[in-house]
Amino acid sequence: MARQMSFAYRDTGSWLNRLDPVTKFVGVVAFTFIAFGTYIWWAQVAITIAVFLLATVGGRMSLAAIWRGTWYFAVASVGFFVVQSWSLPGTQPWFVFAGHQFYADTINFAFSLAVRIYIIFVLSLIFVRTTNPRDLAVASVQVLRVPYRIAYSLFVALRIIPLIEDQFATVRAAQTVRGVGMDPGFRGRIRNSVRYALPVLVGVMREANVMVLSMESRAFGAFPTRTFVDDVRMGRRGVVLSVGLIVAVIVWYVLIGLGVINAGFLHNYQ
Amino acid sequence: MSDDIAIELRGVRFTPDGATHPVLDGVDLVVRRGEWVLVMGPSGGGKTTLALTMNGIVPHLVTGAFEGDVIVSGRSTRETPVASMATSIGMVFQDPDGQIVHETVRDEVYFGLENLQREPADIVVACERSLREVGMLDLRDAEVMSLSGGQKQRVSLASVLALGPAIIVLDEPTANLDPQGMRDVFEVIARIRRERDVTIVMVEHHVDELAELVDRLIVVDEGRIVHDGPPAEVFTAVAPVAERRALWLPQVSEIVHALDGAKPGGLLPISVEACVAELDRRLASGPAHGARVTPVVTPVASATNGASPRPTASADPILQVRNLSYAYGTAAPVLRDVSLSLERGGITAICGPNGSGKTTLAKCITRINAPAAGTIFLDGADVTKLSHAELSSQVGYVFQNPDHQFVADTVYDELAYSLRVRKLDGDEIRERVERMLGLMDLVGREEESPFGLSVGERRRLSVATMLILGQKLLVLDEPTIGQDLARSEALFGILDELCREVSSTMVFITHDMRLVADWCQRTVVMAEGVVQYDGPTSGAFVDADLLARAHLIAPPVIDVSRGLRARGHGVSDGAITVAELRAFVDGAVSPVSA
Repeated sequence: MARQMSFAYRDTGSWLNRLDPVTKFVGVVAFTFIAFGTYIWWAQVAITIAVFLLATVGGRMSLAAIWRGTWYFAVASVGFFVVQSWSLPGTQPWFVFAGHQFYADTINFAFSLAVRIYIIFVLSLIFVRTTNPRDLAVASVQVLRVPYRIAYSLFVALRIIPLIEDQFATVRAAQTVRGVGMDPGFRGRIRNSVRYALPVLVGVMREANVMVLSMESRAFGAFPTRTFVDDVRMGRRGVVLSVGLIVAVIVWYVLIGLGVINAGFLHNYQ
Repeated sequence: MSDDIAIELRGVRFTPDGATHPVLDGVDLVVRRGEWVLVMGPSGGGKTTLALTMNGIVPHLVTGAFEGDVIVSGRSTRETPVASMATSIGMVFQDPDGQIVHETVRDEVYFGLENLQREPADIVVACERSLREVGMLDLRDAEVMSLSGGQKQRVSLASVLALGPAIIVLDEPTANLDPQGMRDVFEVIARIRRERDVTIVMVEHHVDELAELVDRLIVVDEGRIVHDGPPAEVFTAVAPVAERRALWLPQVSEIVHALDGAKPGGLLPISVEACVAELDRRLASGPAHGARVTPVVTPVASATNGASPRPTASADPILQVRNLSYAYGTAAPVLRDVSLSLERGGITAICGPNGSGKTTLAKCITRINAPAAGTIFLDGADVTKLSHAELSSQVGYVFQNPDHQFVADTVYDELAYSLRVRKLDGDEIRERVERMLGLMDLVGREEESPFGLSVGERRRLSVATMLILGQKLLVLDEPTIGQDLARSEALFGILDELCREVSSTMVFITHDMRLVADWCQRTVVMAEGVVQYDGPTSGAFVDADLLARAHLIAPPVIDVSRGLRARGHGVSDGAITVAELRAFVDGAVSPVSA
């Protein structure tokens, strides 16, 4: 009996499960573009709320599941926010803490940057959890006309993500038993993580190698094209949604370009 | 090439990139159509490489210096890409998880047919046919990862069968399966062979189940074919050198060989019936017909109602588990109200079907998993109150995959690592490491990377990294998978010695019932997260309901004993090893005992 992986496809019968992969991919790209278009804190909060609603309502993912899959990115984002807030120069003094002057525009900028980094990982989690890798490969070939060998490379990559997660958890547990987890402090943790890297890499490479041998042994690549039993088409709903999302991105950038929405760029940021 | 020939290897020699010695060294082999060929040999002898040459994985995907020719159904594998061989020869690999490509059973079977550009309607028909053949049609919409190991291997077999190959090569397909899962796979293969008339080449260690099924046995050692012929002939020929060649003999052959071998010019038995007949003949001719009866051992606790039996009382247990429950996330519980108590010293086996909770229990004991309910006391201390450092000083855990536990760049540093962390004296570290290198047959490999060792060597090293600390309790999770007889027996010899020397207690999670019978004084049987049996090993093997419930199969010596009893001989049902049965026969035919 294995543990449940965070970055693995799960069919919960959700709306996102039923939505075709291409439309979902367009959605991920659209949300990313919108998030990258502005450095205003309230816009990032609004986008975050929208993404979480999409995950919980559209994808039937629990908040705990989202946290389990993204907590390390959340921690990294918080670290990024702190470093940026502390180190970047600003123009609007806000408050002094521990003898250091903080600026409102710097904090706004750092917050936006950190949140959008986190949001990208949440979007990735939503996509991976609700998309059957096979459907993605099939849709890439049938809708986007991607050669099937390339589409299946993407497919194998998606299959390997939960494998990496599983290997990492197992290696960490195995090495804890050996006392590797005993290196204390921040530097000790870094040293411990470096020790995890090689066994994880070796384990993933070995499993991926078996998968490749298994695929080739079953005629993968024998012909320039292949058939598919199932059709994965966008359908009217997918087309309408995709067009709507693309239009929303265009409108968002036009409004920023026209100055209707303040992009909130940090003037002194190089 | 004759139409009668399925596979022909001519002077095949292969040295993988980076290796200094050939893995295959001048192999000539002809496999005829419709044959079922079993390939055996010691770990690292070249069996898997031989199998991988047959569809061209060697040398196309596993590269190196390749000489000679491999002709499969009239085509040279040198000139034919692996993918183009798929309709001639199918390949099933050892790892049930690694070879699975898709999420659902039907998608997995569709995969190869879609690659061959078959029409969707034909694909669906071929998929249903092959799933029906392996008994998995009802599970065609199931997620593959939710299946048991045996079911996954049957799906892999179906995905190969769907392509209609005339030859199927299987590389240790049952290495990770429970005994019933293994038997199911063998039965399916036997049926398919009868119905489809396919040629089967199978690399396997499980000779007890296969000896009667296969037509031909090949022994590969040091890259060469050293024996080739009908199974009974080969087993009779290799029996005197089986230990040296690190080969598993069928237990029924081993019983007769352990007495005084086959009659001159005769063959060792390879079936239970033949073995019973041979022993009956010897017993009937002896002076003391069934005179010596070994003591009958009866189980002290057996649960037949699905509840955990009360643990065996012990005055000074090393481990006490009380009412333990565990679930992964929101999934159904893997452990349900498990209680057991381990006495100090000795080797205890934990057996049961894939997914029964054996590994999860071990991970709870070592606090890798935090149980939802229940308590675990190690030598009187609550494990949840111990730091990881304290716990790892007292309990060791050898994972199924040895690679997971490696932390150093060389074999020497790997062994020394845990000792250095505990700040032991340099001389003591050197002394302990050198002793362990010798015990595990790793002398001369000190400066090599752990990841560069063979599978068997990596497994021995991972066991050594734990044994070197001399903890009070050591849990080993399937330490003999893919190991040959000599390595498995040697490992258990070391464990047994350590149990006596340093009063360690060993817990051994396994599917290998012969090793359990030979080495484990006590056996815990789990099924569906519940302890079904906890008592002397012999008791587990005589409870037919328990064996069925836990997907276990008793070693053939049990069936031989039963057969002898049916013929009026007084052998006890406590005789579960070759040595015990031999003692009975020796005693019965010896004039002294009369």
